[in-house]
Order: sequence, then structure tokens, then C-alpha cells
Amino acid sequence: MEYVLIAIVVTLTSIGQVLQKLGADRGLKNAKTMSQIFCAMFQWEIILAIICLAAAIAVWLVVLYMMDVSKAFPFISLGFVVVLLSARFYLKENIPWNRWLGVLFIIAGISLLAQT
Amino acid sequence: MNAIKANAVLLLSLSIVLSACAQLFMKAGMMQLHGVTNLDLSILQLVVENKIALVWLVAGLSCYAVSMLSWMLALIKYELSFAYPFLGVTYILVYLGAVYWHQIGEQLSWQRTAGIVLILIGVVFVNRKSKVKNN
Repeated sequence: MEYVLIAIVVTLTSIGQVLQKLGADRGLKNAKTMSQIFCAMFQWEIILAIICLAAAIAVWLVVLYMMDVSKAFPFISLGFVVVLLSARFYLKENIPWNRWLGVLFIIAGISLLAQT
Repeated sequence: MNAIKANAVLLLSLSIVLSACAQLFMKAGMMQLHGVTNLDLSILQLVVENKIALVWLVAGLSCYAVSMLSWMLALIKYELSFAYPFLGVTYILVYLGAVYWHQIGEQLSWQRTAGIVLILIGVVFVNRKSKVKNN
């Protein structure tokens, strides 16, 4: 049950991250003043990212109730694995070896954590 | 803009520390609830009714919001591949906080420490800029 919830959180935060990046690229790159930066917060990508993150936090609170935070929090790094796999198999990107190695380390670390 | 770039190190550090605080405060808040058996989102209703839990949660969420903002501002100067590995410090801070902060007091275990160290190495490798052209 808690692992299903963690999977939901990881998916939502991954989507949120991408949207945040898209919004920041579009809005912040040309922003010169503080007020322009402030306005950049209200682009649709950012709003959608905030909705994803708000939903993720709500589910995350339930995870925190069920699990130690020192165990649960590192599971968030699964986001890297999800993004990398979708870049490889969905976007057909070429993934350098160091990223695969990193993902292997993350999976190894998570497997150890899951047993505690 | 120049002020942001000049203080990007501060913003990045602030983001890391606050995101760890956010996790610890949210955990402290959820620990105020006892004996809940129906584990779904209705649990959040109980948070609203419990004043102490609510205070921790609002503190945690505020830290999270400011952390996210300073992260985005820091990214104006730094590339993601440079900035991301530093977020790994958050894993260490959350672990140490969860174990040594009396409000939470979780168990230190070698297996958990080893797992977090492996994840840290992984996060650094995943974000390292490789010399391969397709990056």
C-alpha cells in the first residue's frame, strides 16, 4: 500500500518537475526585473506544476504517517529512474553510460532501504 | 537579476536546508496523529482538527514553498546538471534530522545508511555531465 502511494508521488512530482522546467524556460529566461520574475509564476505550466505538487504532497503526508521519514524520503530519488527510462523508451534519447550507472546505484540503494 | 546571480550559492543552500526542514516538519506533524486505521486521504481531515499537527504541517509546507522558489531562482544561474547533485545533501540532512531530532527519533541502522549512500552516489552519476555529445 505505502509503495503504491510512493509510486503515485514519484509520478506526480516527475510531471511537476518537467512542467516547472518548461515554465521557467519560457518565463524566466527573459525576465529582468523582480516583477517580471513574479509574473512568470503565473504561467499555465507553473500553475499546473503547482497542482501536481499539491496533489503529491497530500499523498506524501499519508506516506509519512505510515513510514519513517528517513526510509520514505530517499524513495523520491526513484524520480530519476522514471525520467531516465521515459527519456530512453518514450523519447528515444541516447542515454550516456554514467546515467545508467547512476540509476543502478539508486536502485541498489532503494532495495537496501526497502528491507529496513 | 544580478542580485540573484550574486547570491545563487546562498539560494541553493537555502533551498537544500529548507527542503530537509519541510520533510522533518511534515513528519513531526503526521506523528501527532495516533491510532488512525483508515489510511487514505481522509487522514488529512484529522490534521485540520489537530492544532499541533496543523502548526507543524503549515511550517513544513512553508519551508517547502520557499525552498521551491529559491531552487528556481538558483537555476537562473546554475545548470541543472550542476545544481541537482547538491540536492543529494537533502537526503543526508533528512536522515540525520530524523534520527537525532528528539521530536522524531527514528532508528539509525547501517543498512539504511548504506542505502542512502548508494542513492547519493547514484544521484551524482545520473546528473554528471558526460562528454558524450548526445547529452
